[in-house]
Amino acid sequence: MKNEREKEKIERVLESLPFKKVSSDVGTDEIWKEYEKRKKRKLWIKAALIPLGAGITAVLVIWFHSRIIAPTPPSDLSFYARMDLYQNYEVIKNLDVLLAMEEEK
Amino acid sequence: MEYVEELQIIERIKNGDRDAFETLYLGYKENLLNFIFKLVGNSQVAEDIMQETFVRALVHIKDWKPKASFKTWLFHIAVNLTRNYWRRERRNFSIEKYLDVFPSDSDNPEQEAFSTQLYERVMELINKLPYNQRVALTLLFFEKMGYDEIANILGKSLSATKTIIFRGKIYLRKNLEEFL
Repeated sequence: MKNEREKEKIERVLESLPFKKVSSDVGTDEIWKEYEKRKKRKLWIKAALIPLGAGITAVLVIWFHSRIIAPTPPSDLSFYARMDLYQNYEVIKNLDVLLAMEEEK
Repeated sequence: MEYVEELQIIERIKNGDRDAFETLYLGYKENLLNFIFKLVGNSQVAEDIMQETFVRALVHIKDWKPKASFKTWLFHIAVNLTRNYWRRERRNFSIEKYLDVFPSDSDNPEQEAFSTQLYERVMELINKLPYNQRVALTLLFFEKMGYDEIANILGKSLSATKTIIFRGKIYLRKNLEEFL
């Protein structure tokens, strides 16, 4: 019961607080100008972001294509791997000569 | 402003009608400014936040959907901006006198002194409340809004809003015992 009375009292106090009334001279001019400015800025950002996004996408597509779809093995091989390939190539190229030499022996 | 009329005005603003904006601005300006003042306690800051609220409302007016009233949406923006202000200015703020000074030739000076003391204590306590509780109590008691509207402004559920208000009231009651 006491609680209820206290509750009511608090509500009455809160509702009767004599707040100061404030007023403003700000007109719609300033607000509208600021709005136009931000609208333009938003358009500029969009205009800048679209080519940037397209550029990033193009780079990613090229990278994806070169690395995953059509990789170029020699560039990925180490120096020793390339040497091995070269030696094997030389061996194959001269296979006839080597075989003839073997036969002569 | 009636709901249908307000919808028409907003549609006109969406199409870039400045006069329509003026109508809307004049309809909400004073209410919004005084609400923000109660939260920040500085008329200059309140004016800046009010201006920013309207600019943001204009920039994002195409996102507004008539699910909630325009007033609720406007107050929601103001509450968020005020929250940001308090985060930024946690230490460097100056609070003016919130309350009107009573006339000194009152019939009962004792009662007047008691009321002044009580009101100042209430404001001090309200300012100590967590932000959501302060906003909720301000909207409930000073702006006379309903629980639904307060929940929309705070972006909380109805039950969460009721809890926030209940906690705020309990805190005030505990700390105002000497006056009651």
